[in-house]
Amino acid sequence: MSSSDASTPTFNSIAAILETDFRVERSAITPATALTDLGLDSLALMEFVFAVEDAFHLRIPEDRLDPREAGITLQRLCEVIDAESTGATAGQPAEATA
Amino acid sequence: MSSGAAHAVLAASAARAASAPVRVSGIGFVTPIGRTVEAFDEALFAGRSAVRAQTLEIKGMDPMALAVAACDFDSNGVRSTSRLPLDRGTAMALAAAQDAAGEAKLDLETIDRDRLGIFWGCGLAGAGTFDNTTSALYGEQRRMRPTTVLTVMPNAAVAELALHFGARGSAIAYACACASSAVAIGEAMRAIRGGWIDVAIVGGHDAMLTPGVMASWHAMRVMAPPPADAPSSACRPFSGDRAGFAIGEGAAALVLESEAHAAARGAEAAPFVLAGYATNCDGTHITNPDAAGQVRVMRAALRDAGIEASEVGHINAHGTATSAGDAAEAASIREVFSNTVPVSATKAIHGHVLGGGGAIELVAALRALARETLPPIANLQTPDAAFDLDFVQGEAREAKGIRYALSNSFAFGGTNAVIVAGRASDR
Repeated sequence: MSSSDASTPTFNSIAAILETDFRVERSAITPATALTDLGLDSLALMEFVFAVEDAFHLRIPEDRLDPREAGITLQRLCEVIDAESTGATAGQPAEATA
Repeated sequence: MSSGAAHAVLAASAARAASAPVRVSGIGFVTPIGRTVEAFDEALFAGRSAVRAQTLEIKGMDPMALAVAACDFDSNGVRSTSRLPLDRGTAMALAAAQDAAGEAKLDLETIDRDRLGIFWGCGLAGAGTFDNTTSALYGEQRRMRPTTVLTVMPNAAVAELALHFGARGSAIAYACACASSAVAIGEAMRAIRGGWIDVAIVGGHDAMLTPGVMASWHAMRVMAPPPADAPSSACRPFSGDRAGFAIGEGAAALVLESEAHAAARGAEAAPFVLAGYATNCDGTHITNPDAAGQVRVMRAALRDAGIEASEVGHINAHGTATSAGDAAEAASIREVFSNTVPVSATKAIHGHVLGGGGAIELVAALRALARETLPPIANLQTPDAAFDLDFVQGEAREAKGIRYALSNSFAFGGTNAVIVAGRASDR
């Protein structure tokens, strides 16, 4: 699954979480947006990653993604989610319940 | 002027400030009987109860038949300034406070927010969130969220309110069970009178309709069983057959302000003032109320307002409809006011909102002043024969010319708080 554009199911799901639960303006949510540019502080970013993990029923290893690290984009987050989903569910599509 | 005379003038000025009425510049609320003044008044003066039956089913236990009063309120529609998740009660607090500030037409850009305070009461605060998150932790092995502590802490609502309004004066949570919001309101009065702040957003909330919290109240044997044929009549304050209370949820907020500050910002005339306040503690028992402590606190509130008992036209009693609670309050009101002041008790219609109760019940007292009409005690058919008081029974009662109303809050833990409200035009 490609996560390089703004129309993949993974991106749409995390965009919905950001918009609904964290009140981030939709216009500010693009694949190139860095996590640190979402207007969320470090605690809210951790909460966001938890919400993503719960929605996709997976755990993102900390060595793959520290949300406080500068420069990590939503596209990168999607790639990590897709990789973890594939590994965790043996080829099943990621279940996005957000 | 001589030094002695100057001191006398200063002392007199300080005494006036210490007993000055504080304006109620705005009111907002989220209650089981409505979010608007129109809906609130309609239920209040008709004595129409929002209490309903709810069966709580927990695996391995007998079903529990409970009387509850829920709000028609979607907490997902409330934005937190912190962008952190909100407990349902905190969302109610924000909604109520925003309505109150809107009515007061507070311009946050122009007021001195170093002198804007938040004084807020809650009893169990984020217990609902804690109940939900821990049941998921134990039952489903779901992790606690990084923000759980910030969501359940007793000052969670205070923190969100301070962020929302940019308040930089005092921001304090008061936790004294059923008296929490009455104490919060009264302490804000004192802070304004004392000159520490000019304006305060005050009130309280609780949102307790979650399994663990409801089961806790049920276990305490203070909740009324809902009658099968008429669940809304579960809570019957001062009745001979009273059986306890219904658990409610909600929030109420007021904007309190000094007259000088209101005049300086060109605020419209306010219909109400808070004229007096007192708080004390029974110091006798953790749940059993002490009439002597209640007598002391009511008399102290009248002294603080500078009025006589005979000037009070209405009492909105704490009226929990428990056996011991109503007996103590009936005795204390009788001692302070004889049987001449009409008594209402509104928990029968909006349930017991614990930390929000004092504020919601004060709003009911203010509505009685505004309408010059006293709300009936819903579900009161036959008062306890031992109580010699003038209960407002059956239907609302006209009270033309009423000047002052009392709102009583008597808490588990022994904390008592009484607020004397008045019509601004009579001061």
